[in-house]
Amino acid sequence: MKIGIPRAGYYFRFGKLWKKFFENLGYEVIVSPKTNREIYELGMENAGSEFCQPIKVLTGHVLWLKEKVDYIFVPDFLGGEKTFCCGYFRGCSDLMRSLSASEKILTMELNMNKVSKEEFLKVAKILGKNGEKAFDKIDWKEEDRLEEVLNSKKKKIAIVGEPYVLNDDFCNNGVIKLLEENGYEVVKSDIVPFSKIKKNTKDYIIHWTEEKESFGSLIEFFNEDRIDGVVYICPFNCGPDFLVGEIILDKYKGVKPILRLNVDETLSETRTAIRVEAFLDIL
Amino acid sequence: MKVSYFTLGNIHIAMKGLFSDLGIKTIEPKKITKTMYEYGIIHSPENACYPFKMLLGQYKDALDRGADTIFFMDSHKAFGCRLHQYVEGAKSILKKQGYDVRFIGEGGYFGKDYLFKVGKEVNPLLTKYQYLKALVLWLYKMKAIEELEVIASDVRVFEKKKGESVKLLEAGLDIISKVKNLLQLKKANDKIKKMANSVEKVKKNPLKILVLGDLYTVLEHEANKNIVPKLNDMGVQVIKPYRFNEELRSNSILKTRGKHSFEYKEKLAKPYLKRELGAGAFRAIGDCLKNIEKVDGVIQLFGFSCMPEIVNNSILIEICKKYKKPFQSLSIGEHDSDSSYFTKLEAFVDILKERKCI
Repeated sequence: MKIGIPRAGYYFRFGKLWKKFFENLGYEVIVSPKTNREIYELGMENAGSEFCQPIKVLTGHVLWLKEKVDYIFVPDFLGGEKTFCCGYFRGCSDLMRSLSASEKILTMELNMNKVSKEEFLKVAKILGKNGEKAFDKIDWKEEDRLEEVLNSKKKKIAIVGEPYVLNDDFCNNGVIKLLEENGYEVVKSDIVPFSKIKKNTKDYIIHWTEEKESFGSLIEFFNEDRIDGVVYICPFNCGPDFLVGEIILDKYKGVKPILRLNVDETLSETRTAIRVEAFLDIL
Repeated sequence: MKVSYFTLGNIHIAMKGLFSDLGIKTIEPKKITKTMYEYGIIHSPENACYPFKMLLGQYKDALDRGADTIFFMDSHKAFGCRLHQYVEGAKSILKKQGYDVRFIGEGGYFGKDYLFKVGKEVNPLLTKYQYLKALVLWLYKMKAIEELEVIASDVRVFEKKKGESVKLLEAGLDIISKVKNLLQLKKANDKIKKMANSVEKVKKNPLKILVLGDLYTVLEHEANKNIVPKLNDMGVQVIKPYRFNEELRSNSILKTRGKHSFEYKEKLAKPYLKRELGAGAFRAIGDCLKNIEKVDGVIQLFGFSCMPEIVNNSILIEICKKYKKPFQSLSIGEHDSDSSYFTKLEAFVDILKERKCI
């Protein structure tokens, strides 16, 4: 039996964990390839026009997997500590079921800050197996790579956004590639450890998990001397990022050069490139 | 202290009653106009949603007229929705524009004592009994107003002489606004029913359309561009299951029970959606499944970029396909024009008429 995992959404954070779990259970795991034209267009055609770009891309991945596997693993992300995830990810499995018209969706409830064993056992139960051993065999912990990246000798630019935007070239319009080509070290916000995010955001009232991460890592980068500039990237119509500009970016105005990019499918790569190059000239 | 609040359909009449019962001075909010909306569009962040922009304009207008406090019930239960940031967002934006504003009612749909504390500040003699009495009357007044709106919209479809329903609505609101206690409210309700029955009616078999969508856009007449009277004039009976008073009562002992209860609706919705996404989206699916057999079509209304409703959109399409009912979603925002909105609406009603051979 084959289990498919779409390489989109929070795969970039939890992917290794899921993959190992299903492999330990004895299944063949198929991870969809990096987003390409075919997958991208599949998503654009089938998802409703008002979704944000990352959800459209996720739909494309699910549809790509649909005929190739027996189950597609799409968890629901409920939230983290006292925070809630965005509505799309909270209802992710139901959304994907209705968009792809497929009953193959395998789902679980996932907490963003704590990996709970019980939920994994429930998934194993649906598949008719005991997941106890398979779960115990995984050694999974978040590595703290922030210091290592910050100590590199190149000029550093921090880029803040959700993991599924930062790690997918179609979702970020190739911004990261462009920065790297220009000889900069790119510090992605998804390597900022949760303890630091928690410390930075304790004075703010925050309800979204994604917002908390953006807030926390933006403050971290603004206070970090080794960073030369900050790029803040968010998909068009993103709910959790609704007040980031209003509260954080305005509070830290003038501390560091900042480029704010709103990306969606109508924005061409050339236009992004022009804005990024203009920003690099300022630096 | 002068408090201003929001409009939502006609329930601001009940709000006025509540504050006068508590002894708090109010500045009445005005109907949302284009100028207010444009203020909201200019000053709110790009990713803000439609209701936020409208409310921001309305607050600013009230602040200009002398209010210093805004009553707004945001909900910390609105899981995947922007609603829970409305207060912080509006506060920081208005502050930048130079307004010194205080928000009350933050953090909860009913059940907390926010208003009691506020009332006590202004009126030290206020007792808990008076406070609870005022709250209960407020909730039931709201219920009466929302029922009156339904009655008036039904009368509008069947009335023989045009304009009777508008008179009925105005007279009814006038009666309810003068009510001082629950007994009078009951009498007022009976009177309204009698008035509605005395209107001369024509017999016909109208189309029935179910209207669903996000809390604000469905309930606020200015936000949905008066869709209900428009549909009534086309000869359509509108079924709008969403009630704001039920939402407010849901956490207290006054909550609705039986087949109207939230639990029942949520049970119906479970196979399609597993959990609440915010702003009543979960229950909207329950409402849809409950009513879909008896209607001819479904309309979904939502502000552009409303996340729970966009998820609902694809699920409602799935349900409507299963029950073979036509479905139309209308998203409203600064990008669209009145004419495109009404053209879509008229085309949809035409299709339904063809199907039913009217």
